Amino acid sequence: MTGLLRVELSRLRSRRAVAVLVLMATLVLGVIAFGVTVNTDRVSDADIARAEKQAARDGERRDYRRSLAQCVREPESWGVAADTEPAQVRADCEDAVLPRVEWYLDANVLDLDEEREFGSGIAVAAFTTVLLFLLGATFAGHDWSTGSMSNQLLFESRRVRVWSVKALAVVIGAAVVGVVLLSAYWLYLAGVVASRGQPLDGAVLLDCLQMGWRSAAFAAAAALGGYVLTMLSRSTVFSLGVVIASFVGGGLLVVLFGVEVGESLNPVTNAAAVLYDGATYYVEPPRQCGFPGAPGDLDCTTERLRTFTQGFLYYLSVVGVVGAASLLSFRRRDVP
Amino acid sequence: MSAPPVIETTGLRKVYRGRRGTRVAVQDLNLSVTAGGVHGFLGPNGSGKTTTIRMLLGLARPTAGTMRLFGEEVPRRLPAVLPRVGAVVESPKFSPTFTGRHNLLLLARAAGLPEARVDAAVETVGLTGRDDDRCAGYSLGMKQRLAIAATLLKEPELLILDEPTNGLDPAGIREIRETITGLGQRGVTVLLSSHILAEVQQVCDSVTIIGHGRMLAGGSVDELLAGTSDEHRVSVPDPAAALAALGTAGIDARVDGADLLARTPEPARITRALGEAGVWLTALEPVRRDLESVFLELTAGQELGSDTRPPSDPGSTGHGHHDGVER
Repeated sequence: MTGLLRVELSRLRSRRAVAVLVLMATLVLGVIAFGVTVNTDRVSDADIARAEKQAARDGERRDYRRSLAQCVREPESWGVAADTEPAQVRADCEDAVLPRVEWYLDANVLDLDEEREFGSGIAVAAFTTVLLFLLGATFAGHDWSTGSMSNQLLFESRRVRVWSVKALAVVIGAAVVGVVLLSAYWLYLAGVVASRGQPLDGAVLLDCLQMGWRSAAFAAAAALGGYVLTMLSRSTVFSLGVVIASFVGGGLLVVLFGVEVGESLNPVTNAAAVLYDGATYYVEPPRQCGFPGAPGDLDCTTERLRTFTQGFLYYLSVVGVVGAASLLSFRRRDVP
Repeated sequence: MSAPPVIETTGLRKVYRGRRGTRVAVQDLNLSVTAGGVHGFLGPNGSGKTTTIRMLLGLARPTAGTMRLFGEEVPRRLPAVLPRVGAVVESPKFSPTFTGRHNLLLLARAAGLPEARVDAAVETVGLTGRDDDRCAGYSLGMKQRLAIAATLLKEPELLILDEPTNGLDPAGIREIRETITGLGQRGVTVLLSSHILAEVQQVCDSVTIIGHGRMLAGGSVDELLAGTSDEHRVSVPDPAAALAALGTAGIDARVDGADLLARTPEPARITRALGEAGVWLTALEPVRRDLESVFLELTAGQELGSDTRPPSDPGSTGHGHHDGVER
C-alpha cells in the first residue's frame, strides 16, 4: 500500500498540469501579498509614540470614562461577555470602548488581525481552494483522457485500493501545498509588520497561521472533491461544468423561484465556519417574541453559531456522498 | 493429473447496453489455451476479441459465464494471478508528459517489481537511448515497443498481446515477431490477437477463430490447415484434355495458369482418371491452404481487422455493430 502511495505521489508530483497549478497558486498568493505590502504604509517610531500619547490622553476624557464605567456595569450592552472575571470584563471593555492607537496614525497600517478577519485572508483561501480543486480534478482526468488507467490496472487490479490510494495522494499533496503556501503567506505578512517596526502580537500571528491551516484543510477537501467527481465523470471538463452549473443553478433557483435553504445549510456560511473557526449568522426570531404571553422558554435570540466542526462535516459529507458514488462506479464500470 | 489450461472461458458473454439498444459483443465463448507456445486469436472487426481480452484482465465485467487464468477464477482471484500476466490491450496507453523510463518505473513500483528490470525491458524492445524522451514525442511504433517493455517487467508466464505490431515498420514487425517466438520457445504462453493472418500463421502454434462473439474454429495451425485442404495442383502437358477427363470422372477442376486445380479428398481418383484418358501427369501436389482462406471461409467475408471498443467507451469508432448471431 505504501509503495503504491509513493507511486501515486510521484505521479502527482511529476504531472506538468499539477506543477503549473502550484506555480499559479504561488504567483496569485505572491501578487496578493505584494498588493497588501504596497497598499499599507510604514510608520515611524515617532508616529507610533505620538499616536500612543494621543490615545492615552483622549482615553482620560470624561465621556470615554463614562462609557467605560457603563460598559463595566452592563457589559452585554457593549457587546462584551459578562460571564468572565471582573478583571477580564474591564480589559474587554477597555478594548471595546477606549480609543485605539491606530485611530491616531495618519497611515494605512498593516494589521494582521484585520487582514485575517476582513482583508486578504479570505481571498487567498478562495484562490488556493479553486486551484487545488483543479489539481485533484486534473490528476484523475489525466488518467482517463490518456487511457493510462487501464494500463495501471494491469499492474494493480484491486480497484478499491487504486481509487483510495490515488485519493490519499491527492489529499496529502493538496494539504502539503496548501499548508506551505498559506503559512508562507502569513509569515511573509508578519515579516512585513516586523520589518516596519510595528509590534507583532504572537497570538494574532498564531490566529493567522491557524486560519491558513484551516484554509489548507478546506482546500485539500476541495482537491479530494475534484478527484472524486472526476473519477465519477471521467472528465476534468465535465467536473468543472458540474461545479459551475451548481453555483449558477443554485443562484438561479434563489433568484427565479425564491428557493432558499436554511443558513445552516448555506455553503457560504459553512465555508466561513471552516475558515474563521466558527461563523455567526442571523435568524428571524419567532413571531411571538416580544408579545405578551410568549412562552418563557421561547428562543428569541437572533444569532446562531456554526462551528468549525459543523462546517467541515458539511463539506466532508458532500465529498463523502460523491466519493461513495465515485468509488462504486469505479469498482463496477468497465475501464476503457 | 494434467495442468489446467492457462486461459479458460466457459459460456462467456458480454452485452453492452446503451441508449441505442443492446449489443452482444461476446456470447457463449468457450476458449481454452494450454500452457506454452503462441496461440493466435483471430476474428473480424467487432467479433469480440478485444472485449474477451479485456474481460480476462478485469477491465470489463462479463455479463455471464466464467473465466479462469492458471486455473484461478477471475476477476475474483485476479490480484493473485495478475503478477504472472503481461498484457498490451489495443493501443499503448501511457502518460504522454512522462518519459518512457518514468512510465515504466511507476508501473514497476506499483507492482512491487525490481527497478532493475526496467533497463532489461528497455533493451529487449530496442528503446535504449530513447527511453529518457517524453512519450508524447514517441511514434506509434515506439509506444508499441514501450507497451511490450511494460509487459516484460513482470517476466510473465502468460503474455496477452492485442495487435502488437500495429504501427511498426517492417523491421520492427520482424523484431517483435522474433521476440514473441522467442518468448513462446522459452515456455511463456502467448495469446496473440492479430489481424495479420500471415503473421499469425508464421508465429502461432495454435489458433482460435471467433466471429460475432462466438468461437468458429480452434486447434493447432497444422490441424486447421490440413483439415480443410482437398484441392490439388495438377501439372499436365495438355490441360484441356485433362480438364475433360476429370470432368468425365466427376471431379471438380478448373484451369489455374498452366496447371489445373482439382478438388477431391482422394487424389488417387485424379491419377486414375487421367491415366484412363491417356493424359500423363508431370506433377500432382496437394494445395496447402493458408490461414487467410480458412479464416475467410469461416467468417464468410466479415471485415478483417482489429476489434473495436464498446460504443459507450470514449474514443469508440462505432464500427463493429452486430447482433451476435453465429453464421
